[in-house]
Amino acid sequence: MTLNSASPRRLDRILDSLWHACSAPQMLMLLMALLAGTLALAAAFPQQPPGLEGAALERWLATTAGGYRGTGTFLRAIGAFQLLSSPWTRTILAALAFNLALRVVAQARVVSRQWHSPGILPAPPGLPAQFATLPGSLDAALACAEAVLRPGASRVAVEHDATRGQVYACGCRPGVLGPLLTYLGGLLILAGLLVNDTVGWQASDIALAPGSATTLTQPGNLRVTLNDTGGSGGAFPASVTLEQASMGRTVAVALTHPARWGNIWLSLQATGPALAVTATGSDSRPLLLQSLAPGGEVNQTLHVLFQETQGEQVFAIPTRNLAFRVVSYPALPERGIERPVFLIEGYRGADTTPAFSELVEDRASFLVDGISLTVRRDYFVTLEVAYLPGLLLLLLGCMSMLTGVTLVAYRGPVRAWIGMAADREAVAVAVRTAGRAGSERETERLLQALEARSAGTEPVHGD
Amino acid sequence: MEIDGLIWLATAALLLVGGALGLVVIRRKRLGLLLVFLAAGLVGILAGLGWRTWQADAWPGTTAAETLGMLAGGALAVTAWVTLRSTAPASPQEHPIPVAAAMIEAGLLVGAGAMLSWRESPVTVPLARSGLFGLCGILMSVGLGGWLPALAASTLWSLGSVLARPHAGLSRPQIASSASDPGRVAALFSFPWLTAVGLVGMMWNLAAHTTVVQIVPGDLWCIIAWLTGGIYLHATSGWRPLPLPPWLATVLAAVTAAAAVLAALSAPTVL
Repeated sequence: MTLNSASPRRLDRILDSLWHACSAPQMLMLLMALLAGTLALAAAFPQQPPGLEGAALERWLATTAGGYRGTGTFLRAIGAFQLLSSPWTRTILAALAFNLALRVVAQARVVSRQWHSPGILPAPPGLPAQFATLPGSLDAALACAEAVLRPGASRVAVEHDATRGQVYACGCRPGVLGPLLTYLGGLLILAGLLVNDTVGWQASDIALAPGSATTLTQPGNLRVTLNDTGGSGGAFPASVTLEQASMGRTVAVALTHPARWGNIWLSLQATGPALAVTATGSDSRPLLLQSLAPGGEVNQTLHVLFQETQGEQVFAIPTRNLAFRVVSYPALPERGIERPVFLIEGYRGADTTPAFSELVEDRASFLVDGISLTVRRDYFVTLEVAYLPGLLLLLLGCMSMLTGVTLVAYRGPVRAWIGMAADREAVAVAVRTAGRAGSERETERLLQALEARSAGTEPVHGD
Repeated sequence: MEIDGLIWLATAALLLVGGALGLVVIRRKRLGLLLVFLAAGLVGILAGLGWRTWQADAWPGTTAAETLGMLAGGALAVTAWVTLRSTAPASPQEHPIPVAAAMIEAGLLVGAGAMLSWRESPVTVPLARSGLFGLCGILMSVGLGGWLPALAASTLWSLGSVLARPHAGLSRPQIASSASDPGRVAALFSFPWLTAVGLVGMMWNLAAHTTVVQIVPGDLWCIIAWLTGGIYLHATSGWRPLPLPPWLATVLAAVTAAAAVLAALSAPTVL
């Protein structure tokens, strides 16, 4: 019987100790420090961009490791370039979420006690106290303390017996919610990040010319079609059609003005020059054109794109054994051209001497070996698409955290405890305060106010 | 060197002279003169930032020179707030020395910004024309800049608690606990601004890059500053004092201030 009752008590003690250890502020501080250290390492080394996978990821890792010469292989092996998706970071975040969940529960209990408890709440351990002795009776000292604490306090409670008494005051009730909202916000942010990480995805550097489309490999196989670029510079919105599972929507997207379709977000990253090319044979039938860039398209209308680092592109008409080199210049002042211009050179077979060379500003048509080549200046856009199902949680979390932190910083509760013990013709007083900052100064102020009031009111009570 | 660089160089000199005067000559009861230097420094920083904004036709924050200037401006603004607040009765800070130390820190940052501005001309970045980017910059300058006066006050207080003979103007704490750290006043004021950077920054990242946080040093150092700042505020909590030595709070303030400077230097990477 004794053994049976002792075991649950021991188990309770162990569980209580675990609860206190896991929910302690020191544990939160330790986990935050570990996370900060990990992020500092992540800031020191380039990290794997989101959306990269397969061969592209392998290429990126090889290039990045190559930049560190001898240590690159070692850094790659220990995961220095993939720190944020490593089990270490995930473990810290999971532990942080657990600690925050426990702290939310603990803070909810604190708030409940402070709002509903009619009596005096115990002072937190470790709160420094300042002491004094007031002349007069305990009743007079209690009245003084109540009068000193009353202004600015939302609640004042007094408890006493014949020889001892305590006065408790609490101000700024909304501020009590601050820590609860802050920890809840942190928990929601972690939940949002988890949802985005497990279900969400991101696809970047999607370069599209007007009329062209791409189907993303990410879950859902979203099809993105660019209807219109909106001109150069990204100032005007580009028109894009998004299609997924027989549903679709056309959205407008411009620089820093993203488009949204449910949880799918689309942003415009850049615009650049492109050359639209068509070719027809002597029988007026369109010819197939092929871009010679890696993975280049084959089409009757070809868009030659000039991305940020690409000043030169090549395409061909395979059935006629013709190749074309196109160079994009922002201007050619030596030729008297002050605006963007394309240089187009045509080559026959393996001949390295250009068969023709032309400068094109906006549009032009040429005849080459009986082929009519029509070129026109156009623009392409680079898009980024992301599926962010955890965004609402993240927004709620950030707002909750901001509200909580603001309440703590500017409306944080101030609480004061004045303990008294009657000692013959005097009363020994201990004052403790808990507040936002400078608690000892507030304690000192209260003590001085108490002494001054006591000295002034003593004759009245004596009467 | 362009006009902005010259303005910032003069501002740095003004702040350093004002700070040195505060440390050496002015001492107590001459806070008003120190605040004149501080206000002049703030005007100089804003003038330099205004010039660069006009040149680039975009919000400041596209170069490290600008972000250092913004950090120094935020530090001075928070110092002014803490100082004006401390003139009220029963406030924890009433000596000009932490103000002077914060001015010297800000002067060094503005000087570094002036040197960088010599190499970094204003850059026109289309993304930096967004109002969200501008708002993020303002919030960040106060949210991160506040850690410089926090570090100054915490360091001086920590030194005061270590030195056997109190130096004139340094308040010796009655209770040697991290909960009494006077740097908490500035840190507590600026922390909500830094938290707001998280919300506004997330919205800007979403608008510009379709992501909630970018894995670039600019965003990462900002998060690190927020995390270490949060640790500092827990360590100096006046509601539930932790039995921690005073120097630990100063170390945490120093780490946060270092993260703030690194966040400012790497802020242009978010573009």
